[in-house]
Amino acid sequence: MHRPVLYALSLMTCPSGLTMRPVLSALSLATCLATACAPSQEATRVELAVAVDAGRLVDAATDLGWTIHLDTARIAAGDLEFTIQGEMHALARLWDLLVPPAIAHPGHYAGGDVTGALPGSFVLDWVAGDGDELGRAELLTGNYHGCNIAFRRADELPAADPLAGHTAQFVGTARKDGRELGFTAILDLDDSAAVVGAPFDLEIDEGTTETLGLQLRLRDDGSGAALFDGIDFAALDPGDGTPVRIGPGDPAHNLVRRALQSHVFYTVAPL
Amino acid sequence: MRRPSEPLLRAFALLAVLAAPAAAAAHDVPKDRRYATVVVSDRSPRTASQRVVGPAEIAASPRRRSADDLLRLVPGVLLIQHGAEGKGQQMFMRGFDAAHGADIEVKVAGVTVNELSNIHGQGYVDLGFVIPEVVRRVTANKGPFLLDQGNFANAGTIRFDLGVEPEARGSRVGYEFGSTLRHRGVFVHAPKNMSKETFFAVEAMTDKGFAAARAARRATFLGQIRLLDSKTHGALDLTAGVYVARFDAPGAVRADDVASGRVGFAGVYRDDGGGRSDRLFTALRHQLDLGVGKLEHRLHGQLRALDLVEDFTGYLLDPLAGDRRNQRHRFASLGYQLEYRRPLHRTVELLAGGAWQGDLLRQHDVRVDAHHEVVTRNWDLGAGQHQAHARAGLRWRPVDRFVLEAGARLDLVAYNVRDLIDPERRARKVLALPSPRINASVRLAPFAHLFLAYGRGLRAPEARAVLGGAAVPEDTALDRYRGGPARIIASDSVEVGARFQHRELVSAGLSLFGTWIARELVFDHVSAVNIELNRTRRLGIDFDLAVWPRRWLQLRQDLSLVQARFVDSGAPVPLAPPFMSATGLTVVHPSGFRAGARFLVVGSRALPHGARTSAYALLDLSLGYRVGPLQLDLQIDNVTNAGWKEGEYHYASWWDRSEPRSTIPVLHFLAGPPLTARIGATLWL
Repeated sequence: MHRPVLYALSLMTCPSGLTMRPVLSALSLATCLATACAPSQEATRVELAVAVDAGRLVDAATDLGWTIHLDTARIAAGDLEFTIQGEMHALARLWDLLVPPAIAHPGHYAGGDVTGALPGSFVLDWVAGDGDELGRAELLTGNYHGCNIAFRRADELPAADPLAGHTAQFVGTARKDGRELGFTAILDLDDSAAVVGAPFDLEIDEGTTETLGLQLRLRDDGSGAALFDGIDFAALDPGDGTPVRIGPGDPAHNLVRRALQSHVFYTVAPL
Repeated sequence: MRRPSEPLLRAFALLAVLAAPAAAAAHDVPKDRRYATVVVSDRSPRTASQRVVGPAEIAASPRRRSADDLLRLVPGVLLIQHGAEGKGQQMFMRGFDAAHGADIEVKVAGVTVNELSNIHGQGYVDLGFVIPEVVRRVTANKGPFLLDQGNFANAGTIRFDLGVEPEARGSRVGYEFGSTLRHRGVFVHAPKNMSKETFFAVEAMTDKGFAAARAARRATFLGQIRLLDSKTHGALDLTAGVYVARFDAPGAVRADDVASGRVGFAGVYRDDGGGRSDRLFTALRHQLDLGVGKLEHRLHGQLRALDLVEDFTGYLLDPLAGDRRNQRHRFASLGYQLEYRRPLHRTVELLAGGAWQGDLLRQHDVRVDAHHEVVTRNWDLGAGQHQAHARAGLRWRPVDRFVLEAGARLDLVAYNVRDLIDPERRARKVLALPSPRINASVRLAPFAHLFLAYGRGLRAPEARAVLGGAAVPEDTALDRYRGGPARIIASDSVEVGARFQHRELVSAGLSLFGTWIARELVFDHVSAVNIELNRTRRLGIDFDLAVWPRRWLQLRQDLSLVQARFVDSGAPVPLAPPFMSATGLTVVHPSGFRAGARFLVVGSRALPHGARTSAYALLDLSLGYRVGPLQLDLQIDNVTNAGWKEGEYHYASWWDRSEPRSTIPVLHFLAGPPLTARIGATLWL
């Protein structure tokens, strides 16, 4: 019924006979558009299972020639976050990776935003718990490039558990030149410590159903870095047949603790 | 959202019915006290998209609470207020999310009011110190095509000329009362025996706002006087203003909280946000006709203070003290401008000019607790900065129907920044960028022109970026994205268009434009940082049509279509409006009746991560009638009482600490004002 009204309007306001068709058309168009007002639309979300994946946890050599084999690899972790690079320029991203730690920020626009998360408290066990599902992460659809892993102290574990009150526990052997030494490493990290930017390259859309595997590796072939670089196990050997012990306060502890926060030793990939 | 079509049409019809009898009833108001025409006949536009808004249209426009609102009269400009009145608005034009002014240059009385390195937003524009009654003309030049368009003009330049036209001169005192418990008083003295540049105006306003945490107050003095008007010594105009304002800052609410009833549509989580904005402004302009050339130069200075407390994220960053952010910005500036033009030949004119502005600034950005005590210091800087440019070009008119204007400008910015958190951190930087500009117009027919234009726009970096690359304090990781290396952002724009103007009956313009930026930089005002992004391009169409069936009646249709995208990914530039339509009606009848209507349609805008804003339509009206010395006005905003979301964003927040913390972005919005009315009375003395 609006056209007669508009026509009447044109007659009243345009007695000179100047054509009002363009104005009428424009008003009609605008009115039609107004009636078709679209509501807000939230970003599309998917839920994907996240599991511990030991597929990349193979024996590896350190810079001092020790070949590491792990029988236990446990880390107490908090929230897992998944990030997209968005439209952030590659140079900015590179700079970002070179100067850790970085977290994405909650802005109006945020290239590099956290757009996926699995909140919670976990004990990531890459040996006994290989394949264990940690939960279902919620992710916005998008092109993912990174994963952040928050560290914590495993205060909830029974006191008898070697990891209780600590962040990470590694038990294994180090071999070099025919010599084999057992070792145990107990690591403490601050609650604010986190791995930032672990590689996670996956385009996630509404149809994605894969389980995301959280992988740990002892050596990064790209950079050549190894988790136990700089540790001379022979020098730490107590010589009484007991394993090498690495714990808080030791210089070796600080070396491994620092390496543990590097993103190069973690990967997230679909299983 | 409501469907406003029928109420809108009824409103239009009602307006037309009101207009008709008014046309027949002439009053005995002295004719020198009335606007004689609403026609703005711009016979020599320099680009296809140039738009001039005249005094009659300004006087009758709806939603004219402040000078900010006058920006809405520029086709394709979208404003979003995510504080309360008094805080600078978020601005959009030609596919740019200009944030608070980063890509739209705004000049008042010839002085650029964008604030380089403002702590809250690069190029921050606060027009609160401009009293709408003394805005004589608003001119918009879209794109960076003219030589005198400087820093921040990537999307264009909007100029506010101050003064009072002869039809409105005299003394008047006005009072306005609004449904939001708004009280506004204004006094304007514009002596009739003096030039249109001369006036004195005082304004005071208080407004409770349409919902919690939307209150605002301000007091303003603005005056301009022609000190000298001599054929030998030229004209000398002094402009001065004092402005103080206080305002609330409601922050945004989560859409899921509104849906669950946890917070109201126009609700807030906290009501302790807000700020103050003060300004002392002065400019001295001298114009001199040298016989063989014209010289205009201007000395200007400002003192400025801005304080803000805002919180958009709740407890996401600090689960104990909360994420309130306090920003403080102080600056003092002094500047000088020079413009000279003279004919070199019968067909060639020299255009030259230059400017310098020096600022001293002090700024800090801290996280504060509920008592607004400092928790962490993110930034605390002292800086000196200089902006300067020189420009030269030629205007060539070989034949009457062809004009070519070509030249270049060289912009220089220099910074000396000192970090007051870490005194060891100091940085100096000098940056330069040459910008060619060219525009041409061809008269195809007596009333039709074709235009071509190319220009390079620029945006200087903020002072903080100069310190980029140094270590940041622990727990201020948010500020890592400070924009990378400091550099001037350059954009390249082209425009092709045509304009048709048939006497004083119709004016229509169509322009096709494109803007390319090799490395985009987006300012994120929640985290107060710039983010360096991939290259972008913006392609669009601007269309405007004005019809004047009578000299007192204007019908207008503006349409802007823009596709703003990242080149490599094809993803849309977040927040940039792809579609805007504004349909307007202005009546300024000699009988004393005046009216304005504006029907705005804003299309859905892309948000980050695939989310989208809602589209909305708004109708604003104004009616006025003058009987003798008394003028009555009624302004109604959002006539259909549409429930609309003025600002919509997509980011993470954590307000309810009984719920798990999540860093996944969700929709947030700020409600737009519902139906509000203001009635006003003005007594002409």
